[in-house]
Amino acid sequence: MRHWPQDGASDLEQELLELMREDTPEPSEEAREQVFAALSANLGLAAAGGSTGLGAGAAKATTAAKATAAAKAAGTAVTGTQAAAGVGSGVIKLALVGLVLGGATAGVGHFVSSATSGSGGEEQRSASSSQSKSAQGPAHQVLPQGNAPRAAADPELGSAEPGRAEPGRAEPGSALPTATGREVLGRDSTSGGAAGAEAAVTPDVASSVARFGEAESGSARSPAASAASQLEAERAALAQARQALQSGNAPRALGLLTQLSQRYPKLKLSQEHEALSIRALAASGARSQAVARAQRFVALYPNSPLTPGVREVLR
Amino acid sequence: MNFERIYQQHFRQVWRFLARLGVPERDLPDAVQDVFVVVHRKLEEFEARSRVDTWLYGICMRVASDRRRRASQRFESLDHPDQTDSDALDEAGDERLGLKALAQRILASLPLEQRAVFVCFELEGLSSQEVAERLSIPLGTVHSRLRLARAGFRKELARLRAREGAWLRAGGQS
Repeated sequence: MRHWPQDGASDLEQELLELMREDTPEPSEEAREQVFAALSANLGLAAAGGSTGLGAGAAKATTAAKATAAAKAAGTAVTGTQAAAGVGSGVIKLALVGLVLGGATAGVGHFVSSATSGSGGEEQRSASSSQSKSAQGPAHQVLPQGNAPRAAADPELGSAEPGRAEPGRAEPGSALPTATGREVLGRDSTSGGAAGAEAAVTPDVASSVARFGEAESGSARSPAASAASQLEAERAALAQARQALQSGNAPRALGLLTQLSQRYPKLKLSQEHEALSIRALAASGARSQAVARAQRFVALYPNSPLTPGVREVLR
Repeated sequence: MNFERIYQQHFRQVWRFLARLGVPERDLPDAVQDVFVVVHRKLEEFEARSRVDTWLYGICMRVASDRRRRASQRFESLDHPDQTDSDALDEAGDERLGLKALAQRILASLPLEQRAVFVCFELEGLSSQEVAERLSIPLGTVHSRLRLARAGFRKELARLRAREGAWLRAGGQS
């Protein structure tokens, strides 16, 4: 069978074919590294890209201990889902969600989306998709760029008071880069389990989070290396927080999450951070906060692979 | 078989194929991750019973299909022609931009299986035998899907031309 241009395609059809050939997006190296970093967080791969150069910055910042912790935390959950999972991607998402609830940072790709999609894509959606657009769009548009731009791009976040998002506040919710999200926690943090949980943050927690980011502290780092370093630091911190949660130490998990969001007000893994925070809050007894933030998460990210897991908190 | 090596060698291929199957650019990192999660999980079972790219294309098809199905359940468009913004075409000052949008709308109208064959054969430039191997389908199926895809492409183009003839006459028609 001959190709269409030699087999009766009209001029317009040939022109369209040519345009389609030209129009396929090429992934950037940044996309390659960030998707791999997300995978390594999800799957518990040791030192992201260490042997191949993938995520080189991240790999440099990874210690063996951190990699082991991440692998232990995420890998266990992966194994658990393997037994039950089929091949379909619905199942994959379930598996990913299972990773989060079981401990791993599922759906890390959602943060990656915005960092790697470049243009933000051709938004070819109908009015009927406006709901999902408003809910899903922000996660893909500006998440990695930080809280402020994301808030501006999100209709719901846009109503939040910018001044409420003080970077210095010790709130595990700061990963959900919205003033509203902080407000939910901040309002309730004077009572309930979260306050106690935050008070339980120990020096070793603070120092361990600080260590995660130590590689970034060099002033001569390039932006790309710094971003990779941050990603790795977030991944490692989330793995530790997850491990703490799995071992029943929700206060420590909350402490780690708080430290992480303080260190990086513009989290790259913000959805994962928020999902884990919600779960940690629920586990620490701060149910009202957990529910409020879970509702908000579900409303903001109805299509996130993390959402089914977050919904569990609402049951 | 090393996961990281597979990832490194096939990342670009997976990304591009998913894009050509209609996964929106904004969703590509997620979709690519979906693919490699399956690769990681199934790697031990794979054992090189087929070519790696054949295996990957099969996973890509399932991931793209699942995304398309879920988008349709949510009344959301991936790039479905009837749900795209026709104003984008009408107002596109750039003729090529308008034609690209038109092409995407037509491609999106094709069933995924036909689209995959069409993409591999007409856009990637593979032979029908290579397409059969890549997609793990019989050669006759490649030909029949290709014929259907071309017919569908032509029919959708005619439909859009009738509906938006003014734009096409103004600049889109070659």
